[in-house]
Amino acid sequence: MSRVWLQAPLVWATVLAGSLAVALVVSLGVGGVSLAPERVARALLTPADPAVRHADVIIVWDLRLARALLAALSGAGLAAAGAAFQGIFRNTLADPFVIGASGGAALGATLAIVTGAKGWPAIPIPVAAFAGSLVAVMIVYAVAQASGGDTATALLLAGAALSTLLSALVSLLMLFNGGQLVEIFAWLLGGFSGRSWAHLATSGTPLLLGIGAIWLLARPLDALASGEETARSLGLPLGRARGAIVAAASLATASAVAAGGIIGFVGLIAPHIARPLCGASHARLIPASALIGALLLLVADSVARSLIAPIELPVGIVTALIGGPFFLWLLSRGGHH
Amino acid sequence: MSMALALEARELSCTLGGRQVVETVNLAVRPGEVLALIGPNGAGKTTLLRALGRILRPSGGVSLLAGRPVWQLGPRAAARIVALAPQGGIQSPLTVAQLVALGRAPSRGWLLPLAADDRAAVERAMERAGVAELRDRPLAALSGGEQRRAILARALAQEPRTLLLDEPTAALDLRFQVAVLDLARRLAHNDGMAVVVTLHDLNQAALVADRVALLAGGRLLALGTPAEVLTAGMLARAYGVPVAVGCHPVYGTPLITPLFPTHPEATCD
Repeated sequence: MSRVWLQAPLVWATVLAGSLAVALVVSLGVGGVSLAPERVARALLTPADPAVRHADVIIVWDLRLARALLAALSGAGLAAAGAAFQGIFRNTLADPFVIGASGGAALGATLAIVTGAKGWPAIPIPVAAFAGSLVAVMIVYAVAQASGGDTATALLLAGAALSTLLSALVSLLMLFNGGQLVEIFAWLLGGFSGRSWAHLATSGTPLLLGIGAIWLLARPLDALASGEETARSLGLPLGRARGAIVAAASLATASAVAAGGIIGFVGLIAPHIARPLCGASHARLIPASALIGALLLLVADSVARSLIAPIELPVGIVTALIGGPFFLWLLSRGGHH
Repeated sequence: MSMALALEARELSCTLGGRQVVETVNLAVRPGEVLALIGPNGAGKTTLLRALGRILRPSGGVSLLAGRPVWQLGPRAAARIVALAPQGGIQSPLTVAQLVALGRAPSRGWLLPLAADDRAAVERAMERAGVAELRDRPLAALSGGEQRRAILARALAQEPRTLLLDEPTAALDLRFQVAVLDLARRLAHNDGMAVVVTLHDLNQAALVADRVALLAGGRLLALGTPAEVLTAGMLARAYGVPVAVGCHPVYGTPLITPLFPTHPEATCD
């Protein structure tokens, strides 16, 4: 109740955007060479200023900024997709991977690593992950459609079944390709190590497209979250609306996976943090979740880089270590309502 | 001739799970008219209403909205003409105002932001359904009756020419039963809307309806004015319970009292 003032859209949007900017500056200062925030800010804002050290500019602009932006954008994409899936499934335990996106990405990436090691024509891992993710979602969607109902339950069940199958296939590949175990594991655990402007250019566009499309579909999401009967009474074409939302959320998820591997918890938690601030209407929930997801993954990536530096932790482990207890705390105080 | 009708069912049949629930029903509703759909549990009232509102595809026959077969209209085009307030509560994470605003989607489109006239329509709908004070409350925090009124407000926000109300007075207290039934009459008689309302309370049907349709076993048993349909013989046949039909002391409409097999002697004078 004492936080009612936080619920004004202008207030939470400003607070979240401000936090994100601060987190970005801090994150850019963290690493092998640590930079104070004012040095980061100057290198960031006035790189041409002769008073700014050239080394700072290189560290900030060439080594760290693209990675930080990619982490933030991936977090935003996962969070927006999580909010979208929680809306269409009317289940706040749904996450971006609920309909098989992670299983497909994992299999795609594993196949690329394994075949690459056998000397087959190399497929870039992000491309394979992206393709695997989309193919898995398309199979789940086709099965759900064929099951006769355009019900959300069919999507959930098909997603669960296919995910189990895909993870068994990944395990099988790992079993018979022990030489690539470390590489496969590193990818499955997620991380933004070595990501550059080129990665940002390829993953950033589909991420932004996916997030934008989800936001555009906020009103159909509101109708679906209010139940099939309500959505039907309003003349919402259920099949087409669900298809568009699943497509947009899958694009965001697959792009995030291609950028940083499989990173859990961000997409599940961000909407839960957003709802008490902005309510459940998706026109606000989507951007608020995206900002919170960006903030979470940016912070997690900074922690991953600095906790036991110079060794880098997989960011997926960090999000699970922070996110798991946090989610349990949120549940215990009834924050899921 | 049929262009003057708001709603028409021709030989309409519906099946649910392979079972025939509505059988070759013929009825028509004019603009400015309240039609009450009555009948025992399982008579097919809700199914008929859902077919009329283009929620459920009939297995046979056609239903027309403003002279056009509803299944030739797209879902959004139909939702601009007809609005259905389904029975029961609603599980939604939205607030009342956010739910009612969804009622503007059929006319504004699903992707465009609402305009000033949409906001005005939302306000009007909330005022009429008596939920303006509840606007910022989450639906999950409302009582069953308050949820019913919020659902009604959402349907009103669609500003339809035909309004289908499924059990609108269930879960409402006496004051809001009167308010909702009176609103249904005013929407029809003052605004020229066609209103079809399913009711279990036969006395409410007698008071609110211009015409009454009596369904039993999916078939239309009788269709006419309350005085024509709400007779002791007809009701006993449909419900399997003896009733006494008197005259309403104030309105002169039929007044129905079910007769209990074992009832104590009268205690009023």
